[in-house]
Amino acid sequence: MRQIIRTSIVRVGFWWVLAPLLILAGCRKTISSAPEATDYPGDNYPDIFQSFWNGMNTNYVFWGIDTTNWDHMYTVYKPLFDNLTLFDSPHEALAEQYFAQMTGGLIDSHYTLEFELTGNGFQPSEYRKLLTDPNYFNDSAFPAAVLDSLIPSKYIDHSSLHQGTDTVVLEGSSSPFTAVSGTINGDILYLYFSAFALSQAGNNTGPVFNYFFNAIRGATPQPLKGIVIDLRGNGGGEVEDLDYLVGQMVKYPYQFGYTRYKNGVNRLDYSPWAPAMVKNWVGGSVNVTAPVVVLADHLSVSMSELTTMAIKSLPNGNGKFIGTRTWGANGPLTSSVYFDGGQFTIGSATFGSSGYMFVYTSSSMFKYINGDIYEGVGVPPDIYARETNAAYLAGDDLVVDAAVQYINSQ
Amino acid sequence: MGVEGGPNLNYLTTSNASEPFTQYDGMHGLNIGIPVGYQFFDWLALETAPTYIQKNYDIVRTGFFTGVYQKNYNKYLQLPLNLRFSFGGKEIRGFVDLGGYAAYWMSGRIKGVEANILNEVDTAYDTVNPTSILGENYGYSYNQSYPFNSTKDNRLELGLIGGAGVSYELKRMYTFYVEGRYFRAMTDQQKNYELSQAPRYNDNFGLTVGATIQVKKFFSTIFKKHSRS
Repeated sequence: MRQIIRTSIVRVGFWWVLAPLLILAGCRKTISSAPEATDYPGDNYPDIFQSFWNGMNTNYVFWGIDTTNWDHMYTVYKPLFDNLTLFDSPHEALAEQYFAQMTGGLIDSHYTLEFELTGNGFQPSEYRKLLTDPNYFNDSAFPAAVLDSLIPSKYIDHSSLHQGTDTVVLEGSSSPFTAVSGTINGDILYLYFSAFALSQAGNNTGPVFNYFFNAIRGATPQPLKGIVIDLRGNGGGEVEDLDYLVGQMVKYPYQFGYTRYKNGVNRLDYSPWAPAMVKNWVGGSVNVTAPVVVLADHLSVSMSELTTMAIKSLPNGNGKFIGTRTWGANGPLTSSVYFDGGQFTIGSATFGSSGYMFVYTSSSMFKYINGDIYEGVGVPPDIYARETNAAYLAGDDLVVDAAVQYINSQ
Repeated sequence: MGVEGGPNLNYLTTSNASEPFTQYDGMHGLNIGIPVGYQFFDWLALETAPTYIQKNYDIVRTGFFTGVYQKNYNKYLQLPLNLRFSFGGKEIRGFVDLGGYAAYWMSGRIKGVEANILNEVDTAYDTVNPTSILGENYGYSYNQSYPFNSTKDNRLELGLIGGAGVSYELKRMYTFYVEGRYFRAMTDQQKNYELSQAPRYNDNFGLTVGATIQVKKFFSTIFKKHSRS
């Protein structure tokens, strides 16, 4: 009897063990080799769509905080691209429209699609800003008008005025590079420069920066009451300038935020947060304790925003941001060869090295030292101040006025 | 019941085709368990062993990226259920285990080095010509708990067990054994949160040494000794 019971238990138990095993045995998914975006030939629109969708799926660094439903984009737009059968102008226009619709909500404010066949481009952040404010780019008198006439002539002490313009190369394009420095009221040191290309400062702008850094080191006739660094309208540039500019005002490295990168092919594969550092400049630095005011506005982008946050975080607690909320593109960006994720080109096999489309996007996500991520929303000012056309016509720069007032109040 | 433990070698099986200069290497870990079983016949037993097991792996960058890596240390609490088919003599017997397991991913630790984009080796007036990424950007070394992401991480793992070993039975009461085991995860380490997701599976190869005691015989022996005295 005992043997019968035991045998029955074994029979039943055997199936209790075996059945789940048989079910499990069929569970493992095939490990498919998802190709790189650049591996697709790109000789037809469905292929280009797949390449773009995969490239974004793998390389876009903001999936952890971006609310765009990328799977939904696949479902909706794949059939539409499947209907594009020919490379001709009407189909290309439709394709560009679809790509714009797919990416219109992405928070990466560096993000730009560059269509190499037509020379067209699409930048979601610009698109959204113009949607909410058609005068976003026109309603500020800064930088050209204010800089050209007002600041050098009215605010800077005439004897201290240093200004110049050189030509620099940023991301392969030549552009004018202007710098202005001098003192305001004798003891407030002012610096403006139009882009982060300080290493390219030439015969005309080099002396401007030399004057500024010598002044920081105590070369001014009287002790500095404060420093104003004007980044309004500054579109960003080279990361190396962070240490060169801010690192000359500190004696020791300090942290002002964090960065993280993609470290796997799936959307939420991230490296841990690494400290974003300002290092004291290797060529020498001083411990600046006077107030350092950074001026930035809605046209301050990328390195301007990182520098703004670096100055806000100065270790002596003497940094202050006056102006308006910045553009909102502060994820550092470099060549895609260096980091998993970031910019990529599709369709190179068919269309040559420039490909069908270049996707310009951040290489990393930035988080400010307080834990806030300002990508897509911009860095908020400590003190709000905005120049107006009326003030400009009356001979006033309301933002510089606010900076001077703040420094005098310290 | 008894105790068992030993080293293991774990691999993460996934796709890294679109990650150039990246390889996933196996890493060693440990497992310690408390085996419990019921012997139906000489040749068949049903066994389980609540086990603490490490399933570690290493992500290593190569070429220009040499020096960048991430060691992943993952701790699981695992409950296997397997049939043990044994054969051979009275004392020395061979056996084969077949079964399945459920495991809970208790915690993780990540240790590594990554290139830090906002800690550049270059200075504005001194551009280096680096031979590696860490010559371009200073590395950031980290050693921290793995922060679980409830959208991404699937902490329940189900899988299959296959094993083979040799046991030695002493006085019909104590059994000592050594066994090679393979734990094959059949569920993805991630939840299914995106289209075109590259799955990740643990493949764990272990060498286990254990000792068990036949509880029923043990207590009956004690009881007999006690009765005689």
